[in-house]
Amino acid sequence: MMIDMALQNNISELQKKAYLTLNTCMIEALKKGEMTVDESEKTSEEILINIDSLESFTELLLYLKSLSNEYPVYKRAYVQFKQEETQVKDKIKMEAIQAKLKQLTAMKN
Amino acid sequence: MPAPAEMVPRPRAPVAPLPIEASLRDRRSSAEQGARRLESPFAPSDMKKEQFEAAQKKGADAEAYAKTHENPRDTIKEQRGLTGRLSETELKHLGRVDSSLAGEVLQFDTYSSVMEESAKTGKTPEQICEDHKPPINGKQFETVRNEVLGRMVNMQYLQEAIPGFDKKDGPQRLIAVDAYAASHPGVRKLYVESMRDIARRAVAMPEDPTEAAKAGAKGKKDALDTDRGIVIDRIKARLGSKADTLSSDQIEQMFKGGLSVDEVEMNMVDDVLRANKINPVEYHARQEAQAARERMDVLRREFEGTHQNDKSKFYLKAYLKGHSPDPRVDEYRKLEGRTAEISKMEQIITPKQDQTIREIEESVYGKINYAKGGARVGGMRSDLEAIHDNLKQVRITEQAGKAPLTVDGEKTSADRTLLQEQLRDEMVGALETSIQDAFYEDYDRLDKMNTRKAEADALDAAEKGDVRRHDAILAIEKNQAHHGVETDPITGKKIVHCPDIGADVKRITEDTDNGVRRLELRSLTEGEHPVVALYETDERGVVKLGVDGKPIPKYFVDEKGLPYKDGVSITKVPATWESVRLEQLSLEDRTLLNEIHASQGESVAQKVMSDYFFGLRPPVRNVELHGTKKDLKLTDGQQADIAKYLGKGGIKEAYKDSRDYNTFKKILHERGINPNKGGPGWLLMLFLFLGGGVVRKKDET
Repeated sequence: MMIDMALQNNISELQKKAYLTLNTCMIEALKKGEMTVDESEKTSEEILINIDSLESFTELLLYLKSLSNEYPVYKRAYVQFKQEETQVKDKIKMEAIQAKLKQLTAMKN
Repeated sequence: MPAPAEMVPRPRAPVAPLPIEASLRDRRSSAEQGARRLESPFAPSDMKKEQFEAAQKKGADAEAYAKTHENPRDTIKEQRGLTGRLSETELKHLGRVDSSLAGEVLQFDTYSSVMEESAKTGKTPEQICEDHKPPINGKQFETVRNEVLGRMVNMQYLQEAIPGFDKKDGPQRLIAVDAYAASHPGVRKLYVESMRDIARRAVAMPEDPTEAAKAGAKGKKDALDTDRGIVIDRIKARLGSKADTLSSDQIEQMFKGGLSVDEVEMNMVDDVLRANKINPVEYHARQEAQAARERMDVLRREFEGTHQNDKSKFYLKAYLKGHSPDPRVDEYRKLEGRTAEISKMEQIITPKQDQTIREIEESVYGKINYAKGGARVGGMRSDLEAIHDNLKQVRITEQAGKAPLTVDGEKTSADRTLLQEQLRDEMVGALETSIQDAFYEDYDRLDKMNTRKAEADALDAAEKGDVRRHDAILAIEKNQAHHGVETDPITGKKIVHCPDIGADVKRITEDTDNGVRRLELRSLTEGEHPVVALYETDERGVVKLGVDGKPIPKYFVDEKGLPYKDGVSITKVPATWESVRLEQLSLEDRTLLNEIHASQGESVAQKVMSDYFFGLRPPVRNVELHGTKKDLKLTDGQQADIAKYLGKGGIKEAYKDSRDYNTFKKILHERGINPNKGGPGWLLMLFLFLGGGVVRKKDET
């Protein structure tokens, strides 16, 4: 619940962010010659269908993972969102630890 | 005392710093290194320069587009691209296989390309036809549309695959076929790819030796005809105004009947004389008379020469009388007689006609060159000889085109026939195969998406520490597939369990929400390690077996289906997933079931329906049916009930892009009903089952 609330926020915002990141990956890959025109057209179609039906952050991560396994040019997008998830999880853990410490300190006093 | 040598640290040579590449080298094993490194799809050895440049250009265009469009979704949408049309060369090779089928291919290519572009760009088909190069006329497009859809409406596969097809009327069937298949971009892509493949292989198809011989002969004949035409024009130019009324055909006709060049020459003169109103008989009479007189002069001189020995004066009459046995005398008398006969005719020729005759003779025979002893130079003899030879070549060429095949020719013909038949069969079946594959891909994509959603829900549950819920979601995903459409993990084949699907659909029809709950309970109670146990389990949660080797039931029902009570119930029957009463289950189990139904219930119902529609479609490649389609039969009442139940929740976003929904919207639009006003979900489902007949026009209600 904590992660969903922290990271999910608004599904449409998440979708927009995903589109932006995937777009950047695709453009860079095309310009560097790491992706063909056919691949970009095929993946564009797939991305639209899947991101449009997105319902959660976890689902996005799973989709990006399978996409990057098939098309490594999108790995950066997966890594970026995964890092965000890790950062938020770490932040939540830190907050929980700090709360416990406060509690212990209060008990001691 | 100094330390032993071995204890004194030896001075070390300064260590050279690692080269940068070495320091960056990943020395882990390949398994630890993770995903493969990025490699360019353009291998240096077969560097496809054009593709590389095309990719770079597309990247630059996409970047420019992104800068002018705030919503990144629009950029992704723009990058989808369109399936390119078949080229002239590809169509030509398809025509070599079968010209009539190639025509149908062109029609489908034209129609589906316009519809694809319309769907992806938002332009109307009319606008796209106008912008097309060359522009496509509105009427032509309508004709193409009607012919394409008219053919597809008769495809048995589509008649069986489109839900409620038999209940739709004519125009609705066309719309359905259009939405489901003709305008499906996946169908277009697969179809064009298969046609390209057939065209590529048709290049290797040898030319029909008979046709090749005929074509070769025709080519040669055309060339000969052209050459002959040039010579005839030259002849007419030489004859000038005197042969204005003489046509090229007439000149050609002179050579018919195998006449020699000399005969043609004479005929040419006669025809030109006639064209100038000079009687050829009179002309030939004069020629004959002139020739006769010349000969008579020659003979007279010979007679004089003979008489020279005699010293008396030469008298022709006396000579002729005295030398009658001499054959020359006989000849002279005959010529004299002939000349007397025809001299009247030569008097008819006027001086003007005589001038014309001279000009004609010069054109045909050439001018008299007195410097060369009166020989004629120029003339059209060489041209007439050229035409004569040309017509001979034409006859030889025509014969060569009809000659029977040689042994090699027959082999080539057989090879060609074999390959042509194979390719023709593929062309005939290509559209249906493409439709099947596109439907299969659609289902597969939806299935993978739903699996991922379930996996995500499960992971979220695990993240929150709710392991049981995590296991429950995965169990539903896995076990429901065992009763619906499951994918063989090794072969990728789809296995359709028709009897189970039919039973599940009927259960939902009869019990609606409770029916879905029962299906969820079934999934959760199945297996050796069930999430909800209806049988006794050990400490690991694995179902225990009794002394009889059967599972030990935890719950019992009586003859009325109520929970068994000692002293009240008569019979004690072990409860199954179908019969167990929910109040018999523990609070923990009931809570789990409620949570699962709240989060997964809609997905379970939609999975059952997706599997149902997939099962309704005729078997395709890579699909195995267990049971038959009869197991999926529903009555009209059952169909209406399930439509009502499923539609109440509205349409999920992803489903709005489905073929069914878009077909439905088009038919509603045709009937003047706005699909966005109230209850599209319910009506959609009803339409799918009962066809467009349930939807009346506004003025019909």
